[in-house]
Amino acid sequence: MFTVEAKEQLDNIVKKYPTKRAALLPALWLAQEQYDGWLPPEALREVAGYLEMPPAEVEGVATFYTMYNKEKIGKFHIEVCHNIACMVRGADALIDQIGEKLGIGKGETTPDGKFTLSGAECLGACANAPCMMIGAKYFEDLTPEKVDAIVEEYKKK
Amino acid sequence: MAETITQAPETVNLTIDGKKVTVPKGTLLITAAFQAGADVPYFCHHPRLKPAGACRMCLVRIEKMAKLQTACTVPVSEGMVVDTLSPEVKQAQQGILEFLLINHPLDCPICDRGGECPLQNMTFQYGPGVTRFIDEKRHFPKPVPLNDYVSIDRERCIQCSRCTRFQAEIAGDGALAIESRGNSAVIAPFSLDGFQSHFSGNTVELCPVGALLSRPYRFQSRPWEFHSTDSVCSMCGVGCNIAVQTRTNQLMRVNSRLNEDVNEEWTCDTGKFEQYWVNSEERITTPMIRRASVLKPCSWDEALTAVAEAFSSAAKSSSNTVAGIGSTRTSNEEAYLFQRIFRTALGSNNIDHRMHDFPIRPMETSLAAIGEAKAIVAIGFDPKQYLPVVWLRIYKAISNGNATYAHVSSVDDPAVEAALAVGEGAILLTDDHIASADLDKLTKRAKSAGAKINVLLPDNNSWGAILMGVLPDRLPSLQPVGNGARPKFEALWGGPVPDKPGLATWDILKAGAAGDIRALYVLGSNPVASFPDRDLAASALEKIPFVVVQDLFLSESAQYANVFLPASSFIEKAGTFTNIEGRVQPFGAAIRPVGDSKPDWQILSELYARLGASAPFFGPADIAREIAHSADKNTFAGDRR
Amino acid sequence: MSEQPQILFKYRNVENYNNIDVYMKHEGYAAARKALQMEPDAVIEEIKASGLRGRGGAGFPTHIKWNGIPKNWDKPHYLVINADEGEPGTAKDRELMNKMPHLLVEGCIIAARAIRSNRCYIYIRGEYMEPGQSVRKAIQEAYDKGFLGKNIQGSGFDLDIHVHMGAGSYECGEESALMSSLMGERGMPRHKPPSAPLPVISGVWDSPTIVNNVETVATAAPILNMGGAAYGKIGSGRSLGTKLFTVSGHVNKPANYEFVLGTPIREILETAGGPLNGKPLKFFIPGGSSTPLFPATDKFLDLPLDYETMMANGSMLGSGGLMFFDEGVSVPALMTRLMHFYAHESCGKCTPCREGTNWLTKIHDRIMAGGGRHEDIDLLLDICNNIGGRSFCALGDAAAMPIQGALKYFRHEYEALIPDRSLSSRIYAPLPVAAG
Repeated sequence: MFTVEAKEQLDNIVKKYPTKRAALLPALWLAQEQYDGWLPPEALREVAGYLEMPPAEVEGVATFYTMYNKEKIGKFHIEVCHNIACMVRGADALIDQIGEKLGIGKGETTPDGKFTLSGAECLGACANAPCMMIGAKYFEDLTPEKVDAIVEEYKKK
Repeated sequence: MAETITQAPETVNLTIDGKKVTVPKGTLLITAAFQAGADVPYFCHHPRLKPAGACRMCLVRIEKMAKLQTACTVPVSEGMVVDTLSPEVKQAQQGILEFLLINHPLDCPICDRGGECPLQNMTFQYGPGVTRFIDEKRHFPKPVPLNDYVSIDRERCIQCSRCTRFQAEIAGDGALAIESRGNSAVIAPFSLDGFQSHFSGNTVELCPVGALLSRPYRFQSRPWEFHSTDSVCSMCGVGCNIAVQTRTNQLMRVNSRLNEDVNEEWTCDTGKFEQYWVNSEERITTPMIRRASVLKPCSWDEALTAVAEAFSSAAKSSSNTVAGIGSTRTSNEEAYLFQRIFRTALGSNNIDHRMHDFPIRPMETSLAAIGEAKAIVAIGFDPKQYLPVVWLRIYKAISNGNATYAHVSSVDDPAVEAALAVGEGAILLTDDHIASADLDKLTKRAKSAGAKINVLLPDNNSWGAILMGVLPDRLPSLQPVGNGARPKFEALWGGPVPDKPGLATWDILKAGAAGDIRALYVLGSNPVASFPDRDLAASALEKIPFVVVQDLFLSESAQYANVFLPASSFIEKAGTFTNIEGRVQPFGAAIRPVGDSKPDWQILSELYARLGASAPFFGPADIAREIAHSADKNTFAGDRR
Repeated sequence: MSEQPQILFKYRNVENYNNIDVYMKHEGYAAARKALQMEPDAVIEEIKASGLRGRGGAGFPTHIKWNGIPKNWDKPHYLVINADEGEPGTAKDRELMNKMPHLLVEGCIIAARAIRSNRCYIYIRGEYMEPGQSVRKAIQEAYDKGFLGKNIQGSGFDLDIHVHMGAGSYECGEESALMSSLMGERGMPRHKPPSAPLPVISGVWDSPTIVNNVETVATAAPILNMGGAAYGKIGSGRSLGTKLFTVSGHVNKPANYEFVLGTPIREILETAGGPLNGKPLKFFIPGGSSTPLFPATDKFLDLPLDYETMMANGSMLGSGGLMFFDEGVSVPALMTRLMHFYAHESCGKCTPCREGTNWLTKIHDRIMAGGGRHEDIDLLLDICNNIGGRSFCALGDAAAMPIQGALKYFRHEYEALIPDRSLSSRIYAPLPVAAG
């Protein structure tokens, strides 16, 4: 359920657009925050109710975009770019390395719910390949050593 | 007063495959191409839906344009030169079909759509003869039920978005959406709700492949095996034109038929999926007569003789002791014959069909006009629930003309005032439960505002029962029994017609409970279940010495019957129904009467002969001819047949 | 080495350039002030003189787009900034937004002035949360200093800028899909001419709309500062001014660089430190993953990198994502990865792109797994031809073009992956053309 503050935030978002529906993407972002990092159908229904949209259409939009999580994911979402610029600078090996370190494969979440590991399409850091993001934060010019250190650091968080 | 100037629509001239055509400005190229006789293949295009340009099947060459263009999205322009036949165009169309087929399962032999499938037909006409695709096709769990009526086979889906556009643009509920994307995209309702719509069945007809399927029809028949009969829906007063599709003397499927004035090309789910009762095993198909307090099968002769004797002996003692309660579901011909028998052979006006009193008031606009309204208020009922296809007109007004709409419970709701403020173009909708006083009040306000009121009657032949004279005080065409029209009918019917109004349903039941009715004819109605005071209805039927019930099922009222006459369903007979607008619409017989059942008109006709009538009717058309002869043109337009 | 005037990157190394006070000490908001005192059409004239073309990929002349907005119209005009940088190989807008967000904000003021718009949305791809924060901060600073909001600097001109975050979709970088996404829809493309009016007539919310790339708009401020004519003197032909290039892959100093349009590719390579560890290069992609590759031969390395030359040689300047690949890179393997990308990003709306990218991916996977057939190579080309020009938007073409480029120059690498024993195992014939 949306908190009172979140509802206020939503009211302010809606004001930025000429139509209520246009607030859908930001509303889903907000819902994802409210619902613990993912969008259960109940969240979609709540957004649909608020924006006066058919819930099926909200679900259609939510499932179109990859960053709206349709399943519960780990506390830290490690997304390693595997597109070509990073691929030729060793991204695949990094994914394997992280996977081995965490004991999970691509697209999986650790049993303690702490990490989810994904391959990602071009993150727009091609000049600093290979790169990855954890949550909102970018990590660039990665090397096996750097990656080890980063994962260790997050393990402590 | 502003004068309406009708201008000739602006036109555009263009050349398609060397042929010059002139079409109204704004016409889509694909429509112009059809007009020019070009055969442009398509899947996602539908004239009632907004252009999608999704399937890319209708690619054509337009001179001076760099790329091939989809004919379904491009509005024509002056001087446009279009080629739909060149090898380039043909190759492009083949290429698109090849793409559509790589993931489409080749299960046509067991697909319900096979034989009437646009994809199958297009492949036959335009497709490649061989496949170059050797990799694994896309897989989804299938079929997945989406609601009680519709299931989806996602492997067959070609993502044309006809279904999602229908739900968003026509049904107005957005109950289906495309989920996920790319090759993983699927058509889906909201995951918590399923396909919640009153109109889901239309997507089955719109689907150009066998992805959306009718669950009741699934694996029941091949489309080339059944016989399709033009009919009219029996489920509500809208009178949607339908095709009744039957095989082995059973209903297989109900599809919509085109009627721009009534249902365009849509049906509601009740109409499409809730008429399988005609196939029911529970139907009584043999006449029955009560012996030693138990209903036992008997012959038609025995049953009809018993009925004729009971009614003539009661009527002989006093014509006030016989009564008939008709139905809003029998055909016009049957309703007419019913009242004629009572008024002539039995000399009684004790006939009615109403279960409660309501104002008899024709609609002030057509159904189609609702789609053009500027403001609509539904008072006291929800059209989507009770007359679903009326909702489609309402939504058309909302979506095309930005009409306001509200559905309220009271005539005093502020929304009514707001709509009336719009004046001309405002339409108030209400049903037969509105109080006369409220309607009078509303009428005054509407009149001064220039708004229209439509009182919508609920059943498929509510208006027919009224206009055919199944009323204690009215002859056909609403002629009062006491006035000058009576002699005309007496001449036509060859005998006197009582000039005093008879008993209304509630008075019949009261009289019956008081022991004043000796014989009651219940034709296609079920007062014990439908009359508001059920106890009164039950005690009346209990008390009346002779009750005949004519129906398809052993209804609550039939428990009190001395004789039960098994009637045939509407798909087993021909006739006409009159819809909420007063539009008389014919329907044909799709199958033979089930078992020993007979159409109501035939039962009545045979009874009429036993009551001494000299001119029995041999078919519904004989009755219709007499109605057309006797009725005023507004009541029963013969040219509708 | 030719002279490389730094225009967008002029103050790249100034510390705290993302702070409005620092920015203002370095010519910041001078151009905006200037624009606010000019008639909108005069601003457009200045851009026209500069010869600025869209930096997002299509290279459409900016002043023609801006001039397309109706001068008198009762509907609001919208300025939409395409910051959905997603083209593999392109990372320039991210740096612009992270380090020099005020260039973007100032550019928005100028562009909005020119097209008489009072409302601007900056559509930033969902992954760019840090750039999003950076731009939001810059916008707030601009409001605080009176460069945004009502009656900006007493000019009577109002402008509000909102940041709209995407949520993970490459397709939303396509102008019309971006508009769908901004309006709260699935990121699917919208009808274009001849099926519908241009966005300048009917874009978002059926109103006149300009969609410009971050870099395009960011260039407006320097252009007004130096004068359109002066900017137009840089470069040659119809490729004028400078452009940001993301140089990535196997080079020693991968980074974003600003070069005059028409700079020889070899010079860019050298500036980027030359081939990584000196290992010989095999091929390069000039303008982001959607543009056909070139072999790294003298013939192609000596080409000037501009719109016209790339086009004339069968590729495109694109979004400026210049990617170099050394001998160790298998072209089919790279293309396999790219096909997975395009299939993943296809919105699914139209048949050729949805099915075509999926089929291209499956054939690539099979070839890479050793299950290729000789006819698969021509089949790949045929699929590309059946996608090209027939998809709803350019994403289909974007998937087809790299394959066409790869097979033009490196067909032998595909052939080498096909086992000798492979014979046509199925009936296969080229798609016959129906008679008449």
